[in-house]
Amino acid sequence: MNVNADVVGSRFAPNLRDSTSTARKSRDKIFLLVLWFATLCAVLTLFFLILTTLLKGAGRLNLSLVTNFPSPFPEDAGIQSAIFGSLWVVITSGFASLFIGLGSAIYLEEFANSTSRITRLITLNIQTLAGVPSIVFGILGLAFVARGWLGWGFSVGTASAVLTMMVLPVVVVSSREALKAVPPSLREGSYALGATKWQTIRKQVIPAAVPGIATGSILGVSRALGESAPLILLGALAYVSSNPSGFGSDYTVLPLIIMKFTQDAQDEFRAVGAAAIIVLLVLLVSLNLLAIVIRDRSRKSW
Amino acid sequence: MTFKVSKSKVARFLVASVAVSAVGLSSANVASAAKLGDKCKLKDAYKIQKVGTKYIRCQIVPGTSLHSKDKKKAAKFAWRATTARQYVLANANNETIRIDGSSTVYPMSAVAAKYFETASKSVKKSKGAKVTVGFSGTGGGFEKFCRGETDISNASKAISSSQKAACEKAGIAYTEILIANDGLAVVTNPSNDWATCLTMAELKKIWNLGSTVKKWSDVRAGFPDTPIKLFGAGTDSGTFESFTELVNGKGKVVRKDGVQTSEDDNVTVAGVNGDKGAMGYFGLSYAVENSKKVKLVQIDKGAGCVTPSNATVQGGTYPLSRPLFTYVKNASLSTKPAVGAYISFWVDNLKQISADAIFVPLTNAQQKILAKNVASLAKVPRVKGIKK
Repeated sequence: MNVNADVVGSRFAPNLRDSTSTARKSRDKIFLLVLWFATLCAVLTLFFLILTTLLKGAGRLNLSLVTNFPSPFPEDAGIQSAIFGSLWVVITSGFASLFIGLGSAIYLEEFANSTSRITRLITLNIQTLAGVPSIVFGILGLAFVARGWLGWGFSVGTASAVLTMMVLPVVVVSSREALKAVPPSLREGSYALGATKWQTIRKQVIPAAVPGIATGSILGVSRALGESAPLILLGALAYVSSNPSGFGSDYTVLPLIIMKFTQDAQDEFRAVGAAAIIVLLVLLVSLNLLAIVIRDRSRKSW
Repeated sequence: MTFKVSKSKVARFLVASVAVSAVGLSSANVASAAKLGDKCKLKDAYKIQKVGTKYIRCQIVPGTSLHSKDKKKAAKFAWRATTARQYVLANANNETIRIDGSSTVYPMSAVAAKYFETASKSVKKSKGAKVTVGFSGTGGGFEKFCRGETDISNASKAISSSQKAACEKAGIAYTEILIANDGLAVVTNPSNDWATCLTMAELKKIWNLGSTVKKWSDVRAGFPDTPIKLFGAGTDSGTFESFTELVNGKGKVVRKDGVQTSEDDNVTVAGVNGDKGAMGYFGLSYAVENSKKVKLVQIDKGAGCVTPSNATVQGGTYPLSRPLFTYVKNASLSTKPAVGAYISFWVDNLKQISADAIFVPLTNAQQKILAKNVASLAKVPRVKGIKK
């Protein structure tokens, strides 16, 4: 009996006879050190990047940076039209992707027959689309939105539509996960009280899924904010001296203007570029903070 | 309940940001009464005012420069006398001029655009003309231009036969304007003390298709056997096409191995600066701006070593010279008065615009031809009471 227990212990359970030995504890420490090192690598890289950018751009980080328009001269170059261009594109594409994305997620999760071939095909497609490189969406947008039968030209509307397409799969996938995570007891309770399916979804399921939906869509929108590849194809400009006034306007966006500034021959321009990077980072961080706030405010525990 | 709170917060945030975007941050135009000789700022450069019967314009003070490293010669601006023609030119209607094309020409185009917009906004209380400039490259620019999507296309290389065909097919008639000269500078590491002057044959030996040059000693006997590291321009750029055409005799033909290409000239500067045996090429103005990080190489095409400079490029003695162009859609000239006004404005102020954008200006002879061509092409809009 004793022998038997020993065999089981050595094979399948932690070796209890070793429990006081220093070998196990030191292995534990080494593992912790490896984890620490991995975290440190990521954090230090980020810290170094932000620090060098801050040092480079600090001199130009003032009000004139956000009140001036792009200029061929570093002294009075600003990024106002890029900030508003980015806000326009990101806010409109954020709303559009949330609306369409949440709608399709609700359909797929609550209404569609999840075993049918068509549903499975759609799911597979959406998951694939989430991994498609953004430049592919740019080419698609150039052919069908900017030119082709929509023919919206190189405008805010085109950029917004293409970024919507790009963000949409992420929103659908994350919204579905959020809806899936709502406990069935909540739905059953609602049905038991005589609520219809739509009432249940609207009053119980969606409110309960808000944290997940908000996090997913704001992360998607953050991705759109930092995106430049498809917008180069879609006619985002370098020199625009006015803010967009509608969907038909010419526009530029922050990542693109940063690219133009940092590629310039003059060191002074690279400083403006670094300052613009800081503005973009601040925008991104505030978007992520918004996601956290929404998540925390609407979190429920069952 | 909690959901409702957060929803209204989100809504408030979004409403606030949209409201801010609608109001904008732009400061109102300062319309102070200025006198001839008064100081002004870069922000107001090329603003025009009418004082009595005379016209004054905010211009850079001669002898000062926007790019001077010497603080005493740093740019100063003052109100100087200008002509009625400039006032008329600036009076462009509320139109948008769309420009795209070569990133080499971009700085000059943007300088012209900025000055023109400032001038145009100062004339009337209307918004003035709006100019937008993109930088999708010579090829990318023509691709849009020949679909009628832009009014003006910048090019660091004359339009090719296939681009011509595309324009013809779409029924886009255009006018070619020679706008500046450009030199392609060959650069090496500052500590490279052997390759001060290279012949065209040696350059071809290094860069041509099938080149076997791996060390500097392969280029010329007597050079050290330091490995050679090559940095080239992006294959979609006019710079790449011009360089390969001038050096290898055929555009876009270049050795397949050992060249690191980049669309960003700063990468080339950093690369050449970081490796003793490195070599690269880009536009002359870029090399002048970075003269502390890279060394300019003299080029010999049989007539002795020539240092790249404004004078040698203008005189045509520097072998790696090329013209820069801008192409105007003829239809835009007749439908949008602002386009013609912009081109005339650019040509009238070409010397200053070239200097401010650090471009090699046209020679006097070239400029005369240009002025003549442009005069016949652009109808300058008229303002009541002013004769040209």
